[in-house]
Formats: sequence, structure tokens, C-alpha cells
Amino acid sequence: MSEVKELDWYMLAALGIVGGLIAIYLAYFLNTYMKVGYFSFLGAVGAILAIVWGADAVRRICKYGIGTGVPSIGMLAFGMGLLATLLGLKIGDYVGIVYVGPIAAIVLSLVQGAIIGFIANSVLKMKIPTMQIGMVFIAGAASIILMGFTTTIAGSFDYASMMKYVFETGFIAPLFMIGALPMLHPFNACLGPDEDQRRTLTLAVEAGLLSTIMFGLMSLYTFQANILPALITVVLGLLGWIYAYLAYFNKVKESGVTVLATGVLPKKEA
Amino acid sequence: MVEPTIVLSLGTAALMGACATIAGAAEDLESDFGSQSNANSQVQLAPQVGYLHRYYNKAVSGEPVAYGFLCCTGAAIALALMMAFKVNPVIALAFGALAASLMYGVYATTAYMGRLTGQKRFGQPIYLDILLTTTPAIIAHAFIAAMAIGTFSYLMNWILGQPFPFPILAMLWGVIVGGMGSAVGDVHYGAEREYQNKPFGMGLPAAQSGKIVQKGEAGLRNSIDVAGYCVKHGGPLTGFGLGITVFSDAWREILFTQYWNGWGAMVAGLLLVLIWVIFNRILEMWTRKNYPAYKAAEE
Repeated sequence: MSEVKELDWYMLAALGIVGGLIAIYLAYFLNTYMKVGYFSFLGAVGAILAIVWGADAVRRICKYGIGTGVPSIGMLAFGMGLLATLLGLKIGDYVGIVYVGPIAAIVLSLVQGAIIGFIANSVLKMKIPTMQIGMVFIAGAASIILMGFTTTIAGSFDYASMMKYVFETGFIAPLFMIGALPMLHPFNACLGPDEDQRRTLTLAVEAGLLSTIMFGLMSLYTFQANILPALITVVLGLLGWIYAYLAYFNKVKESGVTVLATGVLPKKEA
Repeated sequence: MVEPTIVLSLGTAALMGACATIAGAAEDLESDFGSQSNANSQVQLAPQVGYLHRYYNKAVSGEPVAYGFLCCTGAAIALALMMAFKVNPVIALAFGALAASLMYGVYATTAYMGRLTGQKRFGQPIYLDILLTTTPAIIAHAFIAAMAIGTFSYLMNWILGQPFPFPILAMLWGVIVGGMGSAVGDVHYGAEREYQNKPFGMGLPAAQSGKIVQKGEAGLRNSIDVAGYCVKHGGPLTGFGLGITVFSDAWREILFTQYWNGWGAMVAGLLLVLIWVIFNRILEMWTRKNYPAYKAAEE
């Protein structure tokens, strides 16, 4: 373990839920009232905050030696998150107030995560101390990531646009896959005895921005009349990604691992 | 949708089979470049037991998930380009596959650096030349696989009238090709060379874990050598496996859907599987009889 104090995961959870919701609502509010799509990229900002939260939760669950299970945990999170999110957004659609949707979705996915975490720990007897709360966290993070990137693709998170632009087009497949990947990849890539939280979370931001670029390209479908919103997402995502990739590379170099241009194998001291 | 005739549909099935063959071969070789499947745990374990190496260690995720996201991203971007700019489907599919495979390459580099940093105490260095020579090969092969799978998913939707949107079809076929590369290609990667100093058919005992082959015919062995070796059997066989799956599936659907209210295709599929199982069993028994456990030459 490094001497640098680790970020508390409850703080990251607060950042993910509050920051994520604010970003998603802001994107929806600005887009709807100004009747434009330029603020769709804010959805990705919310998603990235949730990705940092989710990646940290995955990291804490999988530290108990679930080596090959890391991708499975991410897929499980998205399975839970997708169902609860759809139900939540449908509730918002049903009561007629769109703003209810995301809150209902998060509450439902947190509850679902709690139930599945309970089953994993107590019924299947996995006995992992962080499993219960970790399941709650990854389900909630998956829900915000889904809504955030839906906002990026469709310009709005309401149920009707999600159906029209995400499900009928088939964009749900990449949304599921490269939405989950930034959450599961950082720990999967960085695991080991010398894993470091800040490096892992830097990688989470980098992967989130990479997905943002891809969803920006996909939002060309939604914004085909005026491609400027899609262009804004792609350009901002690209600039952010370059910065984050270099930051990650610097963290790798700072970590003390030998980086060689080329060469044969070094002699190892016994 | 175009008006489907039986000749057009069968021609499409043949084209899809050809695309799938190329995709499967590229997939298997790509996973060898990154030591993605079976050997990955060994490559990762090796420094811990004192075997430093020059292999690429790409831990994006398991092959099925990795190919799921690669193929569906390529197809989705192609769809968006087709809709937004009315681009020719072939060009759109190529651009989509390019974007997706570049993303895939980025994931591969971050995984290579991350895994070695996560275990820096075992002294395995990060070789930048490995990163710079293997990553383009990974991207190139991922591009071929994503393009081929995107193309035949598009054909499946457009000509054969499969009702799912084609990014979803691409994801399903991506997962299938990943699973197939893991199952078929691995036999030629793991069992033959990586563990060559173990007796034939013995599996890998825990005590020998991580003892990978470090030295090759010319200098130190790396992932590109592995792909060069697998191009002979592993890649083509994976391609053959996927090609025959796609072709025979499309073929039975096109020819037999018209009987018994659609159930004809189901029955034909069941018969096909049965024939396949029997044939495989016969082949397995023949192989076991003719190639038993490895024996040293008699004195």
C-alpha cells in the first residue's frame, strides 16, 4: 500500500450520485429549455463521475482475490443497473414528471444492488466483507452511467427518447459494453500487489473519456440534422482523453516500474 | 430491405460465411498478439516465479467481452455515419471498424502498462518497443475482425431480414467469435508451444505455472512470434469454425423456413447439430486410438 491517503469510497459515492445527477439534470434542462442539443456532453460528465465511483467500488470488491471475476462483476453491475434504470425512467414517464425518472432509477438500482449483494453474501455464502455495500454501489453507478451516456447519445434521458434513439437503433449494445468497460477495466488492468488507487482512478477517467468519444460519434444518428452537438462531444472528449492518457502514462512512470526502450531481459537479483 | 429471392439469400449466406472465416482467423491471431486468452494468466504469473519475458500482456477482459464491445461499437458508429452523412455502407463500416479498433488498441496499451505497474515488485520491465510494435498489429487484426463481423451483421439485417438492429447482431456475433477463439484457437496456442516442456496431455500442474517459454528460435520470444506460429493452424481453424457456423446457420434458415410454418428450420438445425455431434465423437475416438499419450522412441 502506498503512503498517500486513499480517497474514501463514501465520498466517491456522494460525488458519483450528486455530481452525476446534477450533470444529467443540467444537460436535460439546458437542452429542453433552449431547444438545442449542445449540452448533451454534460451527460458524459455525469457518467464519468459515476465511473470513478463505480471503478473504486469494483476495486474494493475485487481486492478479495476475484481475479478473473472482474469483467463479470462489471457485467453483473450493468445487468442490475439496466433493469432498474428502465423501470425508474418508466415511472418518471408514467407520473408525467421527467425529473422523477433518474431519482427513481437510482433508488431502485440501489435497492436491487442491496438485494443481490445480500444473496451473494448470505445465501451463496461468498462472505466478502465489502460485497454487500459494493453491490449497492456498482448497481447505482451503472444506473447513472447508463442515464448519462443515454443523454449523450439522445440529448435527453426521458423514456421515449431512450426507446427511440438507444433501443430501436441498437445502440444499447455499445452502451452496455463500452459503458461497463470503463468501470471494470481500470481495476482489471491495474490489479496486483502494487496497485494504487489514484492510478486506477486516472485510468477510469481515461477510459470514460474514450467511451465519450465513441458515444459522441454515435450521437450523429440523433443529431443528423445539425451535427454540432455530436461534434462538441467528440472534440471535448478527444481533448480530455489526450490529457487523461498522458496523466495515466505519467502515473505509470512515477510508480517506479522500469520503463525500457528496448533490450534483453535484465538480470534479476535473487 | 431488398426483395429476397432464394438465390440472393444463398449468395448472401456464402458471403457471410466468407466474412466470418476472415473474422475468425483475425480474431485468433489478434488474441495471440496480446496473450489474451489461455496463456494470459501464465504470462502474468511468469515474473512472479522468476521468469521475466518479452510477451505483451493484454488484459482488456476475456475474449468474448472484448470482441462484444469491439464489434458492436464498430457497427454502431457505422450505423450513425450511414444515417447522418448518407455514406456508402462499405465506407461507413470501414470507418466504424477503424474507430472501434483504435479504441481497442488504446485499451490494450493501458492494460499492458497497468498490469506490469501493478506488480512492479517482481521486476518485469515495460518495454516500449514491445508496446510500439505489437499494438499496431493488434489494431490491424482487430480492424479486420470488426469490419468482417460488422459487414456480415449488416448483410444479415439488410438482406436476410433479421429483425434485430445490426449493432446488436454484431455484439452477439462478437461474443460468439470471442468464445470460439478461446475454445478453438487456444488449443494451438497453449497446449503446443507455451507448455512444450510438459508431457503430452498432462495438463498444467500448479507447480509448473508461470514457466513460460522465454527463448525462441531467434533470440527472445515475444507475442509476435506466437502469432507467427499460430497463423499456421490456430487462426485458420478458428476462422473455419466461425465460417462454418455462420454459413450452416444461415443456410438452414434460408432453405427450410418455408416448411411447417417456420419449424422446418428448427428441425433442420436440430438434425445438423446431431450429425455434428456424432461426427465429432467418431473423430475423437479415432484420434484417441491413433494418437495415444506421448512415448519416447524405443531404444
